[in-house]
Amino acid sequence: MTFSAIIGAWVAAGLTLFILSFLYRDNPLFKVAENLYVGVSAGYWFTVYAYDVWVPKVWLPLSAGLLWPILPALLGITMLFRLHPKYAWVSRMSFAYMIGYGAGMSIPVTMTSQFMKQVSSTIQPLVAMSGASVDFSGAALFSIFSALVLMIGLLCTLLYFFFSAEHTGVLKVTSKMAVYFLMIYFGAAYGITVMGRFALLYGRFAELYTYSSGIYFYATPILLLFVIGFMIKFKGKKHDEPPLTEQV
Amino acid sequence: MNIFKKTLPLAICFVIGVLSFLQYYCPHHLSDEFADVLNDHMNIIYFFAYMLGLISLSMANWGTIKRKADGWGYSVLLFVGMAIGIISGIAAKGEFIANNHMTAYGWMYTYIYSPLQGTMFAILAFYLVSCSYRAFRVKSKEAGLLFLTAGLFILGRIPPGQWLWSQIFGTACGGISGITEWILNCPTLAARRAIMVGISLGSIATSVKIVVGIERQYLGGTD
Amino acid sequence: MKDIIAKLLKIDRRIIFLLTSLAILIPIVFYIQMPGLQVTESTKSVYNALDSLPEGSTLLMSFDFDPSTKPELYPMADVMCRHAFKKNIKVLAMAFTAPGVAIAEDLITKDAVEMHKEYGKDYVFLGYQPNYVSALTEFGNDFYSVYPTDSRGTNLQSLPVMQGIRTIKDIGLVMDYTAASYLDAWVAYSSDRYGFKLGAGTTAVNEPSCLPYVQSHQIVGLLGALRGGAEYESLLHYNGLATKGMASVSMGHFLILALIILANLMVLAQKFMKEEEK
Repeated sequence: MTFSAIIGAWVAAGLTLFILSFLYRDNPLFKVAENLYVGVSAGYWFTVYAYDVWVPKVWLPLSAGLLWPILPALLGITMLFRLHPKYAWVSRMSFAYMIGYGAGMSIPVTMTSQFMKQVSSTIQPLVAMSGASVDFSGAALFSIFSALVLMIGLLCTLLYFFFSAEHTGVLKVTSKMAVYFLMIYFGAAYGITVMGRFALLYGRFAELYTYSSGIYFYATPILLLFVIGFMIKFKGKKHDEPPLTEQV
Repeated sequence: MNIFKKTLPLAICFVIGVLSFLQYYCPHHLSDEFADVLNDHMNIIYFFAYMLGLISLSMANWGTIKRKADGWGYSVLLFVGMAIGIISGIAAKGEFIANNHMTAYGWMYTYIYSPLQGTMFAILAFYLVSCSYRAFRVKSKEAGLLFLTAGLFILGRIPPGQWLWSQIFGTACGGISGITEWILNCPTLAARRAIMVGISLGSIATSVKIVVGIERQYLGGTD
Repeated sequence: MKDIIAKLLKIDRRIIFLLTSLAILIPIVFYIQMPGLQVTESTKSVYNALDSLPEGSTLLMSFDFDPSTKPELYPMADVMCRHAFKKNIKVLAMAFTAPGVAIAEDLITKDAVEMHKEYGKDYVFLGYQPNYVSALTEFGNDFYSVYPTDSRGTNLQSLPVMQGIRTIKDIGLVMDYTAASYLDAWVAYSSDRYGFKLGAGTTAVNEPSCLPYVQSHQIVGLLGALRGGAEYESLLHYNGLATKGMASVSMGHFLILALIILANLMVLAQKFMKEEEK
């Protein structure tokens, strides 16, 4: 194990525990980690943009005598005028360019992939079945049932979000059905999200466990003791916050 | 002056918007070259957009340090972190690995940035459990349906849950895995698809309004 | 009894945090054998899509995620890379997110060393592409207009690994690993337009959003979260990161379900006691 890896393990374990200390109480260790995260993140993204955009797409072409980067670079510089209240209007050129591109591109893309394709995929199973010969097997009947549930669910949920008419009569029935479909969707989404969050936590704990071994000079337990000792020592200011039993 | 403050930006938005829209459907090679040009232009503009954010952040924290406001020491730490990120990046020329060794930039990413970002998101798991215990109450039919579905997914997507179900209910309907797959591919999909279609229609309408100049909030300001 | 229930319902949240920590930590420290995982059709589709490719084909892996979602997406990317190397399928790694570059280099280099693969011949790192919309549009016309060089500055067309590739249609399978809306872009700007095999790996939170694409056959299949990675590992008979993580995740699931049921039972008991008093 290299020296830089051992130091790295101590830094990583320490910063992880500093963030996790927030679970007990807000404290200076968490604030240190939080501000360091913001700063390192900003610095990291600067490097990424500098070496993946600025150098290959502006610096090198200009150095080679190509003039095409001048227009976008000028537009980009106009964006910085946003910081000055008197000349902030200059930045509108670059924002208009960006927004126009994004909006113009999104119209055909959204129309094709998120509207037409989704609607056609809902209708397609039913169209396919209408052309096929009659099949009363269990699997075929279940496919028909599923396709109908999908179609009815889609229509009811779309009608639920239609607020131009009052939800009475037929709309009331469809809205009620839509609520059930939405509850099933939210329940499924919740159940799936649980796994996602636990997976992320597992990743962090697995790394902390790795760094607790003798190869890394027991980084995790030593730093954990330090954090616990710090929390005991640090009483912190009295904040106007609800008692811990009331906090969710 | 109004022509530069209002008319010109709207004209730029309209022209670029229409050209971007037409480019998607045009199979000509000029259309593809135009997309290439736009790609490069956007990359460069995004760089400056990022610089705008960076300068803004720096100005706000510099103000805190200058005024010696509450917590100014943390702002100093923010600049220290920024310096670490930038200096290590420039020293390594943006490379994580050089000559089969991890660079300072790679070290910073692996042992500082990665753990910090990972832990920030992982901490949500604790609040998820706590909130579920305190706030998840089955008080109506709808809430009951939500809980039943959630319970099926919480159990059905882990090996012990699948085993437990098979011991109690057998493997009818493909077991709990089959049931959750059907729920995912049918009623959940119906609701998800309806939301997607609704959002797409709203998105198309808003994009058209932006391109033709009806929606002007992106310009900012009152003039 | 009433007081005990009232106290339990208002329990200090730090005790719940401690229980959560123990639920995740115990299976890490003490190995717990998990019963076999049932593999879903979606995972099988992705597996078959890669397994059916002949030797010498290409797998393009797009690492469109960052460290915050690495625990969920890294294991599935890892097992697919191993599968590709095992079948002598060439691997191209790219990213639409900057952190994805480092993750790709770390993952593929580790697997390449273990499976004796050579850079430039069996795999290549293409690097980060900031504007994904234009890049995806351009892939269908000329791959090299988006990536003229690899991430190390070498002329891409000169590398043996790129032999026979002109556009994205020449790639056997494209896999997008993402937690955000990059899959929407891949489908809309690339696979729908140019018609090539696209698969996806996504986080649990994003999985319901990606399902419509599976049902409409716009993607060949979907690997969902850590479970998707564990299912793929079980098909490959490989005890990888995802399989090891499932024990902790399972304990967490049981804990949350138990707490929700317990809380609701206590509220019900409280209600009955109040009615009895009346």
